[in-house]
Amino acid sequence: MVIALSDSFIENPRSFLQRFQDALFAGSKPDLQGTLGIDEEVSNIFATEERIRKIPNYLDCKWSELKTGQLLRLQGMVQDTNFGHEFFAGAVEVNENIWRGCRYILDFSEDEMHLDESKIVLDERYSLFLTNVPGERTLPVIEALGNWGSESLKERSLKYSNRLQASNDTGVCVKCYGGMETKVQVCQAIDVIGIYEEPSEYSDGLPILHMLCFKDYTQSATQAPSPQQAEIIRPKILKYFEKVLGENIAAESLMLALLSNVVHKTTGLVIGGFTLNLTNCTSELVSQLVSVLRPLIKRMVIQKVNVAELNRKPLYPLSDGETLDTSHLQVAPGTLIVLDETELSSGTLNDVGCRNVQFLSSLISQQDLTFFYPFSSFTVHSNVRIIILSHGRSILPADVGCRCRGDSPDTIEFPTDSDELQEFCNFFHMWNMRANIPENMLDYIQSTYVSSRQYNKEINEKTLSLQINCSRLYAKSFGRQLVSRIDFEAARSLINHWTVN
Amino acid sequence: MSSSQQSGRANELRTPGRANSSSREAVDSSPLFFPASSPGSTRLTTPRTTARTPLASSPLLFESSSPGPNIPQSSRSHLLSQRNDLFLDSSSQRTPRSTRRGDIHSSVQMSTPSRRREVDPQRPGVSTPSSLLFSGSDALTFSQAHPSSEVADDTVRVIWGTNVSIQESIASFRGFLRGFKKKYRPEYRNELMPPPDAEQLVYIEALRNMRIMGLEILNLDVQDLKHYPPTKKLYHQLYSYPQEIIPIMDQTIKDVMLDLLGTNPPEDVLNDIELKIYKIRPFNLEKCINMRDLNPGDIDKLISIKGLVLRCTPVIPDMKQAFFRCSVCGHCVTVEIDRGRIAEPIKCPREVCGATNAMQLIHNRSEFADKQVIKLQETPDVVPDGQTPHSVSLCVYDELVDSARAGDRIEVTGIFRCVPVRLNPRMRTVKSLFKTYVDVVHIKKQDKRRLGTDPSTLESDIAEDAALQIDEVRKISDEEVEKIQQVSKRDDIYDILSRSLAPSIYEMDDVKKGLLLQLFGGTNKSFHKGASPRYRGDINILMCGDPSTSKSQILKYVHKIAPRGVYTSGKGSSAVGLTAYITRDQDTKQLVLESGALVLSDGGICCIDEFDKMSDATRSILHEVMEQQTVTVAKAGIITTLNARTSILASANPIGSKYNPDLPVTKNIDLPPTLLSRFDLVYLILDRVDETLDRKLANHIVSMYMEDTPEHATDMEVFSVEFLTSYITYARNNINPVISEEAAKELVNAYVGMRKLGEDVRASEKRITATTRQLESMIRLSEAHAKMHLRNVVEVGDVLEAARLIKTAIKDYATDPATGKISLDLIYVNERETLVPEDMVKELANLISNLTVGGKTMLVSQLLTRFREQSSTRLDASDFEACLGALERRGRIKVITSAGHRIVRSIAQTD
Repeated sequence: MVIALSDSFIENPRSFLQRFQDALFAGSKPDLQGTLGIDEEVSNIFATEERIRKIPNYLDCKWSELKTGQLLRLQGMVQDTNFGHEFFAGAVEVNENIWRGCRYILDFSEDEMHLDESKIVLDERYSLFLTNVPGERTLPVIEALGNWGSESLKERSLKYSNRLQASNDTGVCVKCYGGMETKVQVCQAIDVIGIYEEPSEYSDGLPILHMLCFKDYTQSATQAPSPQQAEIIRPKILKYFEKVLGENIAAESLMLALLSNVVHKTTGLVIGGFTLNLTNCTSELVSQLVSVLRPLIKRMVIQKVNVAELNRKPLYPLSDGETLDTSHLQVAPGTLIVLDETELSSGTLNDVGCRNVQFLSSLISQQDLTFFYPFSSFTVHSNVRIIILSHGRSILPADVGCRCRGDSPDTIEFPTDSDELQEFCNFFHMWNMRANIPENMLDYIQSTYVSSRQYNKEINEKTLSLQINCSRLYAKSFGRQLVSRIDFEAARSLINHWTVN
Repeated sequence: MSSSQQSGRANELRTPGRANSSSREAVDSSPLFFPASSPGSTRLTTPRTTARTPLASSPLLFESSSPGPNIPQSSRSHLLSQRNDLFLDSSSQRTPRSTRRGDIHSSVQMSTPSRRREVDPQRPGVSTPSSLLFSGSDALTFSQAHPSSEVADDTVRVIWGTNVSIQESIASFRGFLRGFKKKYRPEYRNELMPPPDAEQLVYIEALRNMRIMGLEILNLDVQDLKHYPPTKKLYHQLYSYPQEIIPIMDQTIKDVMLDLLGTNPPEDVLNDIELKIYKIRPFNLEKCINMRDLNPGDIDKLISIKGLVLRCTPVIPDMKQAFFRCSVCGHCVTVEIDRGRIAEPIKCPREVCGATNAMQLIHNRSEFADKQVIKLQETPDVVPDGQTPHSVSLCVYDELVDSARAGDRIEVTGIFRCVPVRLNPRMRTVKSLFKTYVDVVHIKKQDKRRLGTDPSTLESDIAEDAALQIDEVRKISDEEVEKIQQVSKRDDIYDILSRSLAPSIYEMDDVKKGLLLQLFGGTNKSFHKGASPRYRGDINILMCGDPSTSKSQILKYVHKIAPRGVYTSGKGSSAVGLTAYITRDQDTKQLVLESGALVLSDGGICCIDEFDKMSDATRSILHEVMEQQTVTVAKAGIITTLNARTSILASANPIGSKYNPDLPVTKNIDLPPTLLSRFDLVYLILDRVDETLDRKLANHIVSMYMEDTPEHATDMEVFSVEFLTSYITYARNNINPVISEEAAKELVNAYVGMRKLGEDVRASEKRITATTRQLESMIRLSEAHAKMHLRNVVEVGDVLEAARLIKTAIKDYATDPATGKISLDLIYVNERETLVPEDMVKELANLISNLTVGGKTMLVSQLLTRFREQSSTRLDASDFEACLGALERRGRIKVITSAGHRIVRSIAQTD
């Protein structure tokens, strides 16, 4: 019965939403505060993954085949939460005390609007600008704009190209109702179910999605391997990493960096982040490493760090007060940022270059994405994984430095078996898993720290934080959710091979 | 005086070139194009619109109020029957000059002065009905808080579509202007004011001044309306129907102005007043709405929002009255703008002619007014986490044009409007969509200061502020003040405040205390006699220490909570980045001076990390900043001196990154003495191995990782960041301590004592010696300490604490006077001593006296074993050492080292 409901909803969302609102407003002037329960209702209807999969997904359809008023599912990153605000007629009184809801009813006849002001209840909606998640698969290009209208529509949509990272990327305007926009954060990757509206002159040539409900779009923890599976996969991955980096320690360090995530953030303190600087890297090694990581990490962005590149354009999102330009590093949580510093040589940084370095430093040390506006700047909390590849010690404030051998083999045989590759991918889905420190470890860590301080004064607060953090990552790499003494000791011995910055 | 009272521009601007805006698409979605001058010739021809007469006053549907020729006669007469008493339709009777304001696009048009007497229900002298006059007795009663809506007139005339009675509103506002006294203001309620001030008729005085100075603007504090019981209703009406009430108020001002002239006024004065367009500019609404909270319920209401001006358009000539001429017969017609629309006549009104589509707009005979569109953005402090800032468009008119510039923080009072959006600009159909903007009636420039800036620091700005009615960005409520006063009386206020500073950072109490005093700051003084015009109250702090001692974290914390905090790293800073640099403005292509970190933190704290990594050239500019508090720029032909009245908080590593105990302090901190002496406090933060402290630190860090809630990592009571900042703000703004006699003596003693330390010739180059700057530092710190206690007098205790802080910061007590080296053991013992309980020290003393009876000596290691045996709890060696140190300092024992062994010997006590 419920399945039938989801099917009928997909078939004719307008009729369902109209009936839902009509029932809600029966007999009284409607109060259009909040979501009216529509989001909950839709979420309930599509409670299972199986039902959600029935909704047409933008990835599987051509834009030109989509029709206004149909249900659509879309995944993307919120590039800007301030893409417009408008009022509209949310409900009209069609007869004495009979109110009709107009939220989501896109083909509402304008003749019906020809009513007394007192017979209209105004509603409001905010718009978001959604792009494809940087580093992930791109949204299908709007190839058939001509079908929808004139070339002028296409030209109009071009004025938003500053919000897109690549020319073949697509932007969608997502309209939020009942305060749903307050639950969405800029740079967040979201999975939206909504009503589709074709591009028009009104939308400046952008497709519109009227949001019914949404959820955070990160890798699901259920895909992560069990501890037993992790124990088998771990050495296999390390073997590949070792082949590229030439060092066991470097391979292990890389694995930990790829599993890091920020668990808490407060003023001046970030807990959980782990930025690795692999030194003694060459350009060849960088390309090989990237080719190894590309199939494993779903979201990956590579940024060259050299004087010319830093001076060229802002890496930070920048607004002129009218529109918000995106940048290469406006990325969603969970993205792996590979900073390639191997081509860095001496030179002079210009104003943009200095700001870029400052931006990168803040991103690495504070996990803050800084948005520059005229006369002000804003920081947005982020949770990205960062690896810096450089010849010598990086100019950026990485947590630790680790040397790799540098003379990598010419070719790397990466698994061609798709099952194994999938296993490897799933392994890195554990990045957002949590590994906690049990109570009984407290004494052990304290005593170890106190005694190690007695004979090595170099060990300090920072080292201890690093030990604890790495022990968590180490436990994670075995799929464990609790840190054991073994993990802590392994982390301690790893740190001995690193340069702590 | 508000910015709105800045010298006015000409109210009219005739710009023929601009007038072709009539051909522009009338209802563009962008407010930039609102109000378009003409709705186009077909506007009134669609059958739908003609049938929409009942909506004529709807704020959302901007029908023309100037009745077009094809509006059915019946509906016209219906409207007029309700309006013609007050809102005369006759365009032929209008004065040649537009009598309406740019910001009120109202169909409600007040009478011209010549008609005033007919309109006004009350003549001067007999003016206000008794029920609306407030008997302003000293004992304020609110019995008339809800004045009767009945007025002397039999018929109650209300503005169409509202319950606003015109006569009542006029009478009540007139009563307010004539009767409101200063003593009615809530802030004076509980204060006894001397009679001349208390009885001052605020607005009568203001009107007199306006007449003398020829001003046309009256700024109306709406809180005055609210707190004057007879106008409470008017206050609510003003909030709900500003479009209707504001013109009524404008007209009432003129009436009262004329009343004030008395009988037989000179004709020229009378004419002068009659010809003027008086405007009321209401401000100070009860609450400022966040711009993302504006909702459909606020449409056409008076609202107040705050924000940052992003950009202003050039002045736009906004058509107020269109002049049409028939191209067939030459007959001329003028049509007034109404809510952004002008009803273009489609037919020559001359009966003989009657030609259709023959009326042409004559640009240079039409009237225009100044208009400007401002983009206002939310300020960073109100943007919720994870959201990008919202912005709204503001339309400003007449003399408010150009009163705000890009970069200004302003508080705007205005009417929230929305305009319909056309889905297709080529089609006239309007589909249930509206874009919003604000018609501004008042602009108040906000303080440039952020939370808690010391007003005395920005003295010159304050003088300007007073004129501009500028208030604090963050207001402290009465309840908060009460709580602050209450908390300040606590004995442990100093500890609790310092503990609340960066609670996630373990220990470092003295550093936190120093930083706390820096946040409070000393008192800025001006000397009228001496050569130095100003004496800085800003406290500069340098933290120099081993790596990984949380210095950067402290800096970041201070940067977040400090007023106008700017954070910069010495590594990436250039002298230009710190002071000012010249760039080319993208819009105007002009060279502009952009402020660097030090100038930006004027009136606040500039946090400089990695101070030691800064180049000498960059560092040298700090000499000027830290004492003169100015920055001199000479670049690209721009030579100027900018204010940089900032406190500096810097952090640096010692030479060689790690503190070398084998070198004296001065060799470890490699900064020129000229710069070093400019720091009031120089903290040496050394990383020491200490079992107990290490254990506690490890516990602290692990617990942060276990709980993931570092804010609560401490069990002790701490204040929230908000309360801490409120407390500091309150103290900085309200407390200006003066040094008492005793404190002055103590200051002299302490200074002399510090100088003596430097007398030792062996140590003169090896230790940081006191100069008069240290005396000044001590004064500042003692003032800050008194300020923290909310005391207006600096007492001896404050001076003692200041002296203690200076000494402990540099680890003076642990410095060997001969070598200038710091003995880490001494630091260790000194700091441990405060941590061990007195009971333990006594126990050890008893044990030693028992074991060394008869002048025996004992090995320290043996003593520790014995002491542990008798102790019921686990005893750390560090605690034991601390007890031993305490006893040695008290002269009870002597620890001597002999052949590599430490031996304890008891010293016989005379008593």
